[in-house]
Amino acid sequence: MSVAHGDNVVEQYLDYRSEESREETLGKIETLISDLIAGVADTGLATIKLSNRRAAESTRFDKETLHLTTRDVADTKQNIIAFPGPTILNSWRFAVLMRTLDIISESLTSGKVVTKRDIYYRETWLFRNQAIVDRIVDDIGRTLNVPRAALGIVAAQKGLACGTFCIHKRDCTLIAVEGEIQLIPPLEEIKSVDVMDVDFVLVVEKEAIFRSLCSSKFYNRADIGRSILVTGKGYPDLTTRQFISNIAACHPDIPLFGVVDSDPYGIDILCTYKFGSRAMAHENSHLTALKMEWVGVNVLEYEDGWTKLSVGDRKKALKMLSLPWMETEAAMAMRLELQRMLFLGQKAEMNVVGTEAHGVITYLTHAIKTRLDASITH
Amino acid sequence: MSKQYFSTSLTPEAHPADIFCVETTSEYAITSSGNSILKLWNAASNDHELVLTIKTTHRLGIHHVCVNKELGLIAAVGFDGEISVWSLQDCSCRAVISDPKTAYWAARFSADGEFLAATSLTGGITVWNTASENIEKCGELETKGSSGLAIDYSNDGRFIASGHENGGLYIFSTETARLLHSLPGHIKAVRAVAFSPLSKLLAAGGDSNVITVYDVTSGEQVFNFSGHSRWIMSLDWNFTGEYLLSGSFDKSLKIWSIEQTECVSTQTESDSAVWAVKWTKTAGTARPQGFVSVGIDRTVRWYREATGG
Repeated sequence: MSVAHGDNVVEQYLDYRSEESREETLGKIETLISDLIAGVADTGLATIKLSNRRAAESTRFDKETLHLTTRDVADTKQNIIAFPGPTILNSWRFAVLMRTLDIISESLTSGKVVTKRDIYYRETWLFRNQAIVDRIVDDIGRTLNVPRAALGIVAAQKGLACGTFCIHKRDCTLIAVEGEIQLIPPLEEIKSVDVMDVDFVLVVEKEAIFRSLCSSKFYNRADIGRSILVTGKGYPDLTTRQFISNIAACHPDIPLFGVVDSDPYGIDILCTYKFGSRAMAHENSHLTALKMEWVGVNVLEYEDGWTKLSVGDRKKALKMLSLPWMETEAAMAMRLELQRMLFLGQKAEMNVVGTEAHGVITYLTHAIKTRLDASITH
Repeated sequence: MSKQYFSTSLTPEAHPADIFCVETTSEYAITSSGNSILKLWNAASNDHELVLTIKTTHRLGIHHVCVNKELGLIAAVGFDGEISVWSLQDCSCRAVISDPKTAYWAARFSADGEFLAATSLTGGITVWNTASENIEKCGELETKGSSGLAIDYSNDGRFIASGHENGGLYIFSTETARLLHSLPGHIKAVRAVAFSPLSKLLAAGGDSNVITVYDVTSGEQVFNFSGHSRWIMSLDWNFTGEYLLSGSFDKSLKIWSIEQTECVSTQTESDSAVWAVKWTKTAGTARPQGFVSVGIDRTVRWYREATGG
């Protein structure tokens, strides 16, 4: 199976998120690279044999399952990509391959999911168009003999939105989001977003929290008003970030709130929305929403969610604290939060099991109301 | 019988981040914070003005600080896990101590100034010879591997006590470098330990919200103090050993009388968690002993006993 659809892939991805699975794929990539280096030593030429998915001899019809399936790696047709290549085109292919492998290794090492679109946007000048990335990613998967999900890559957009607004698409279709959870479409498909009388936008780190907020109609409340709820399901993909950045830019008067776990990853996700990611530094101006206000959870306030900071959490927190922009005024609150986590050895995770869901809603209602009231008095 | 203390002076925004620790000498109160700067405040004046700042190497912030009066040294422990040692005379850096295998956490000098002991996040305690040129490691004490959050050196130099994240509370003999007592009473993190001035008693507190006091020789728990509603972050004895001062996550400070075995004063000036408290060092001066508190509100608060009542 080489093609899967958005949400399935996200779920399928969960199985591949384990450290063992990531290590295994990374090991395969390393073998590929060490073979390449050995080849350079032998022949002075860097070559990689890439399985060609589309060649007819690469596929076979499985009589038992009645599916068109791939042959074993050894039987598939292989393209040899070399550097320096016989043609400029060949060398470019080599560069595309190496850069993609690099991005895949990076995402496997960090444990973040990327979409094919994310990869394309990382080096638009190199990849030229999305189809090139789509093809190379699947070729790599085939060569390493792992499903795409094991590469830490999901195909489609993963951001979700819900609330009282609608999206007019360029193809003249309308996505009405009133109470319906919708996938966030890529920005270029959007003609306009009608936010109507939205009082605020709330970005939620965790999908489970997002879904429980949606089902309790948090987007339409008498006390805090109407809102758009968005989740990027952990680290947001480009589509989600573009969408948030665009709303922030077009509607400077609508407050934008972010709610993440008070753990180093939650803070990192908040920073990704606010300041952008280092990987996408060249695109960040269209991807960030600096005005996003952090409404929690705060490790000092959210005792319901306290758990011990792990060794990995500590490492991540220290790595984040040492980023140069962590010393800026805009990142001050995050810096303090990370230090408090380290000092107390605690983190606060938002839970939605049983009665806890109610706790989250109470916490958020209070936090948002406080901020909305404060902005009125200003 | 209650005692009255009042806040004589406060310095708001003393640091641009949480103030995690305070240490006192007869001349200074030294504060450490989430930025990389140590600040020394005048302990003898009424205004307690800023006297000195030391820009350290701990870019990620400093959580613990301790002082060596005898040799005029300050040791700062940063979130980076390193300990830096500074000379009070010229604010120069004497040494930076680090171990790639662990991160140091709480540190304390011996009263004679010859040794520095520090806990680590991997549980071990390391002792250095401070008098040596390069501050050489001279010993290690083994614990059960839970992060060491608190440490104290007894005034007579014979004991080191450590408090750990898993509730472990140990007294070591410095003569034999052996564990003397593994003290029961805490099943949650121990965040503060303090020997009484005559090295007879050890007070410990942490996430159980209770302060336990032990006889150092026998290891028996002699009494406990309940009253804080949240974690106890910091403990310090006054110089006569009559009173124990505690600072808590519940935003309050309490003074406990050892003789009456009860709380004799509660201070609630701070509207956020207190990270550290310390009595002022007034022995040999005409000043009455007071105390200093620091915490999340970035304010250094000075307190003095109301006299003439």
